Amino acid sequence: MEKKDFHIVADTGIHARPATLLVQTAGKFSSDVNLEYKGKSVNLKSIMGVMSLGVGQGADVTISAEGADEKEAIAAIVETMTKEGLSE
Amino acid sequence: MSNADVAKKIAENIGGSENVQSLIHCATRLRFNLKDESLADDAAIENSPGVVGVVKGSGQYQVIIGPDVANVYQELQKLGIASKDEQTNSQKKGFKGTVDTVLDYISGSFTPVLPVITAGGMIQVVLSLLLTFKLVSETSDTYLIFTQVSQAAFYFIPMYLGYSVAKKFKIDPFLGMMLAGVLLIPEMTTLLNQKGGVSLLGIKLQAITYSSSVLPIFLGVWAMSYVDKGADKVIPNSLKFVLKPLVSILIVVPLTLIVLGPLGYTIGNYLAVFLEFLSAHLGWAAVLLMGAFSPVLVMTGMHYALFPLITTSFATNGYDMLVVPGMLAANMAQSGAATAVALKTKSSVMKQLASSSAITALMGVTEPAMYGVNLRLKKPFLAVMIGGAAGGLYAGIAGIKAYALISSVVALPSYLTSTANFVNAILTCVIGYVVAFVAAYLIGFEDVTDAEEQPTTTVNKSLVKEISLASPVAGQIIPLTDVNDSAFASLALGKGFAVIPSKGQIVAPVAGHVSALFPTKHAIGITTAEGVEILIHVGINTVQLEGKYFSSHVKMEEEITKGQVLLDFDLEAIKQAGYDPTTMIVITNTAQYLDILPHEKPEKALTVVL
Repeated sequence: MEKKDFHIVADTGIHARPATLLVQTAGKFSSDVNLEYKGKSVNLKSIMGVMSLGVGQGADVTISAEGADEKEAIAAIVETMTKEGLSE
Repeated sequence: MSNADVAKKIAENIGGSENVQSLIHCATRLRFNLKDESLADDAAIENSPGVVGVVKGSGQYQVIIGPDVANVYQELQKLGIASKDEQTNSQKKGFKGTVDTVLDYISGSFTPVLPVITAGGMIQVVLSLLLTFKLVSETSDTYLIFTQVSQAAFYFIPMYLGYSVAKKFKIDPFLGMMLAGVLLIPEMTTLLNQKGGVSLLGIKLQAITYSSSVLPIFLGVWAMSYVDKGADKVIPNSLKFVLKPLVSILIVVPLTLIVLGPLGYTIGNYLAVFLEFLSAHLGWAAVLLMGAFSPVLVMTGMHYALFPLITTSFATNGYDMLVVPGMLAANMAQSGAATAVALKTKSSVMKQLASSSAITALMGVTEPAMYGVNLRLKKPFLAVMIGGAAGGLYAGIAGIKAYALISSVVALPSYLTSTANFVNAILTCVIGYVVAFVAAYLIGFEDVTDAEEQPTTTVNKSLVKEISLASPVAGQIIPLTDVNDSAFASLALGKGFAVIPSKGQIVAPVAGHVSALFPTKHAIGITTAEGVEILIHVGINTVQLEGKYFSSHVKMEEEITKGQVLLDFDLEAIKQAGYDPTTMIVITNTAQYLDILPHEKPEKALTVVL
């Protein structure tokens, strides 16, 4: 299992657009990818799941991946996070 | 199979990214220009799930995908499969692109008007039936009134086109209608046709009656789209609301009355003359050719270019004797050939596909039969052309008249203007179907084996479940693709619809539970008992309001009933703060469903097919 913590800096948090991008990124991999926030864990491949957490600016979240391509999945998510200015 | 997977499969089999000279896409196809087409593995691409078929011709390697094509195209670009040589590409675009664009504008402008033409045509059919059976007299009030009803469809064609053409060119549709109004207002007709003529800006105007005309309004609105763009750049923002419509009309009206109107009118006349010429000099041979080649026209998209021709014919004569009868024969032939394939093939998958597509072809939807069966197995397509020619030959000799622009068995009643016309139309169908069937059966084809076939999902009608969503907010429903936010308009969040709200209240479109509620209260998620995830997002970029002007009446995980009030928002304040209040309703787990169909009706705005 691969894990990575992110500190969300985007002023809109993980809202519709960024959520879509993250879900699309996660959807490319066969591994199970989860997003954890305030003790609640959701499937990062579901837009509604991600949005249900209401992750705002300044939030600390953990993303974990488990499966054959877990390393690649986390790497791709890190890239999306930085590219979209969601996290540093 | 996601779009990314489809793209990956295509990328693997196209002969390497360096083999791709250019790549563009249209409504349903990826259009490659390959350096060496033999390097591409046709069979592997054709057999990938998500790919309907491969068509080669005129230097293009076309992969038919369907409505998802834009997404697959984007995925391909991510994989580095894209136009390499911008120079060649833009040159190619120059010619091919222009043809495609022109066809796209013509079809996009005419298709929305078809229901009007059909209604007008069908009323004429019903009237002539009533006359034939002596149920009404030619002088009765009912007859006279409904004759005018039917006339309204054709007389005001410029008005309907004014709207649809403007919409297609993305300018204000009501200005397009106003331009049509200028052409149609009776006093204008009188002025234009008065003795001694009338002049504008010192130029004598041609005496024309614009009622029932097709091309003048098309050209006029087209010109307006350029004026609109120019005006948009020149006029300062604060004055746009007042000045832009004025400038558009002031420039476009003289241009239309002096140049474009007469030009369109003349071309329209030539089109009508051309049709008459074909019928008069080629006679039945014209319909025969139409029957034989209309599948090829449909394949290349060229059939859209016939829309002005048919519309002109309907508007001037009230019927069409060439294009529609020819297409009727050709569509039946698609069905006949597919039926033969269904009987002959040993592949159970192909059997299923061929028999179901034979039925849809009877209903006038020929794409599955054409791409999925006849064209794919190649030889049956020849049978289709033979059948189409035979049916067309009969239709031409019998001189059947089509009063409605539909070429399927459903349209047969519209041929009921006389018993002979009706019987001949039926015979046209039968001949087209039977000849194509026999031809396909005799010519044969190289059968596919099930091993090559990907199992396709078959839909058992009785197992299909649907869930309908009402509009959650009062206001005008618009297509999601028209929304001014690319994340939604590109359908990346899922399919759905949008509403320009007239009231600041969101109610539940369906029963379920609250599965997402943003702290900023401008978006809410609902999940139904069946698992359909619905996101209602009020306004564009309204996340920046940070909850100001919004209040919610429900809690996370709360069970809700249809129509229950979920959110209130201050519509005026949001507008004044400079935000677009358009509300988007999307199914975020779109990929899990067979289809999601928008209806643009408040009580039933969207159907999710489970």
